[in-house]
Amino acid sequence: MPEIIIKWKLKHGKTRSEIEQNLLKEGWGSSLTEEQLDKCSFLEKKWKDQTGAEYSRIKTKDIYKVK
Amino acid sequence: MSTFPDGVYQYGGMPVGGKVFDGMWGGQVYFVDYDNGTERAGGLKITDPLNDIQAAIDLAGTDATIYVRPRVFSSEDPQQITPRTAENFHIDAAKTNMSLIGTGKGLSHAAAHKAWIGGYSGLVTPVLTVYAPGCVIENFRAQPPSSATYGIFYTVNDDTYDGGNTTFISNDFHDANSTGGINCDSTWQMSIIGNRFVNCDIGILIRSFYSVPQIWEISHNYFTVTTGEVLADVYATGGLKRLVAYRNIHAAEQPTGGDPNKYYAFAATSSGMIAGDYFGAYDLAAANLCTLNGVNIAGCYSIQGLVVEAS
Repeated sequence: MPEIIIKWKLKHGKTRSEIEQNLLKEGWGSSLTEEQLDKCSFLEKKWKDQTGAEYSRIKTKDIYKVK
Repeated sequence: MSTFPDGVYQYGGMPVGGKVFDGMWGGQVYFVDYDNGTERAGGLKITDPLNDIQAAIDLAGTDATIYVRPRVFSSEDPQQITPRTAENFHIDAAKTNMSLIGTGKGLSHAAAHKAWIGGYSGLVTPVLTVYAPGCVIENFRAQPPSSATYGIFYTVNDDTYDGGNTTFISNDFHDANSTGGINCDSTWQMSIIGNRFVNCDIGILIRSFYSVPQIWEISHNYFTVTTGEVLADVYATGGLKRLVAYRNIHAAEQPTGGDPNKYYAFAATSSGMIAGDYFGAYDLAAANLCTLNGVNIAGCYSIQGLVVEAS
């Protein structure tokens, strides 16, 4: 029997920074400033490097700890 | 080696302090748009948003994130997002680790100001009550209902509920009365970061009916008034243990009057440290700015950049 593989694509993004970018594109605004967004992307990269996980949700509390 | 004392990560460099942030993906992401969403929407896409915050909260499970779009503008401000049923917003006990995030950041992204949430007409209960632990409430503007009780945002810890370990971050609280912008009953491990308290008689009210709250972080907040007199920016009626407060700006004039109305921060039996806060007062004596019942004060500044004297 053939296997049917259903891939569910998250259109709003895999990471917080992707979601925030998409919110901006859709005219919702963003919950982060541009600097915070940059730091968020930085943390996501660190997270991916450490764990290999493509999905992540960085909390603003953690962004405040980036210098 | 990093020389950043309170930084988890050195921006652009190697990690400092190891893997301590919560980078794991949580639950589903929901979207709420009061003006353009619908009652029947799935809420899982930006293009298919729900029209009610409470509906999204009720639909979402543990670890969910809910993004809320600001409403359309009326003159300069977005209109209030109010509940569509006759009860104010609440995150029930089972909704642990839920994130409720407003979008829009004022001048940073000029297309939209912060999402402004308000209470149902006529209700005096808080605009938002958190009964579940681990929640994040982020980037909203909020004002109290008329004759508000229990503040604008309220967390509770008692025999039934545990609203502790909650983070309030990047919110704007306006015109709170003596019940506080944020009102916390016995909740532990709270993080109050980067909020603005404008014209609030009390910014953060901490009470201890069930137990004395402990392990609190209050940082990067901004307290100010344009008229009237602040009672206290931070007011812990029954004590507060292991407080860490840093880099807050207390821009209002120094409160006057009797206890606690002559301190920026007032706490009964307490412990912890206030470090690097700025006070809009000419008084340099720490004991005149904050009650120091066990709280150490260090590296704080008064007006004109003068160092507050710890003793």
